[in-house]
Amino acid sequence: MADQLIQDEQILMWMKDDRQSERGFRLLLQKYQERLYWHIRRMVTEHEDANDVLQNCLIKIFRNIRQFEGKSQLYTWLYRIATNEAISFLAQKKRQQVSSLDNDESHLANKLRADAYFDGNEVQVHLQAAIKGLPEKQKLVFQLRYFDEMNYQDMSEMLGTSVGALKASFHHAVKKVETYLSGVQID
Amino acid sequence: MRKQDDLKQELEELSPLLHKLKAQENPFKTPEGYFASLPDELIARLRTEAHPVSAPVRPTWTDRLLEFLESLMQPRLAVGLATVAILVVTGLLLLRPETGNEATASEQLAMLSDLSAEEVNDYVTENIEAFEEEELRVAVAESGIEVEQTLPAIDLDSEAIEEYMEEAIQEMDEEDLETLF
Repeated sequence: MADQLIQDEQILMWMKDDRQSERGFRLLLQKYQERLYWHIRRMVTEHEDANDVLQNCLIKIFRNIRQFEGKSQLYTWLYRIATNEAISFLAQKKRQQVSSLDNDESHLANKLRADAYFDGNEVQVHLQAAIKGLPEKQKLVFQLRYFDEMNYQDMSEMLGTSVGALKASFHHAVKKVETYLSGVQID
Repeated sequence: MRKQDDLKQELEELSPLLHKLKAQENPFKTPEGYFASLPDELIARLRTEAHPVSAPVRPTWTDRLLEFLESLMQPRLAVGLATVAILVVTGLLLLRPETGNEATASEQLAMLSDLSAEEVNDYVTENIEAFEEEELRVAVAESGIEVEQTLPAIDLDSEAIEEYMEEAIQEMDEEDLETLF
């Protein structure tokens, strides 16, 4: 899409110019902040955590924009930074957890039911719990494909994995989630 | 972003249940006005982190000593040194034997008069090794500058200063140090 490309070029041009960097950053936020937020939120689940991770991620983007060489699309570069930031956050959180139960599916389901910023029905609670139980790579691929609707080519660019392997990963993840959902009793 | 490939069809084939669930509204919410206020919050954070407000730092005794030594060097002594430098360079030019290819003494003096004291001072400072101690002493004596009053009666050798300060501090008791600072 030509408009989209022009806008990214404008963002980059302004952000790399010291006199206009804030203006460019605002434009980048206008275009990408929500998408990046939802990507991070689905990975870390809670709003407060998502907010912290997103802010750190956006600050890094602002400071390192000159390192973007245009070899990939801007949005896959942004997603990569957001993903890395969320993964680091989750790893750090995991180390701080006192119990391994803090990380299981039923704990997540209970946490979501009590979360003021989650308004889903029981099926959606179980869907989140099912995703939580996936292996890390499958979880990421499932989230990028199912929620962010990223196409395989962009995903391949972002994760450095072949399109075929990503398709296989998504298909496995879908089957596991479906199996989990059909195994739980939903009122 | 590239054109979306057919996720719908892929999901329909793989899992009708997940395809159906996808049509439901996003269950995650954010606080009211979150996205509207985020840009200002981030810009404010960037500005704060770029110019952190730090508490004033109390100068240490070494800072005070350096400050004192620097004060000796300017501007009174700097003017004195510049004058000495002009006299030294002038003297050297006048005493040097002339050759056919060089400017005459009067021409050289005329060239020198165009130079500022600062330029001459820079030249002498950069080339101080090239001057004989005796030449400097004679030039100072001829200049009429009262060196004893303008130059401190200490050797400005950094190692010697450090050594002296260490000895002095060791000899001081706590009360002396408190009085000093």
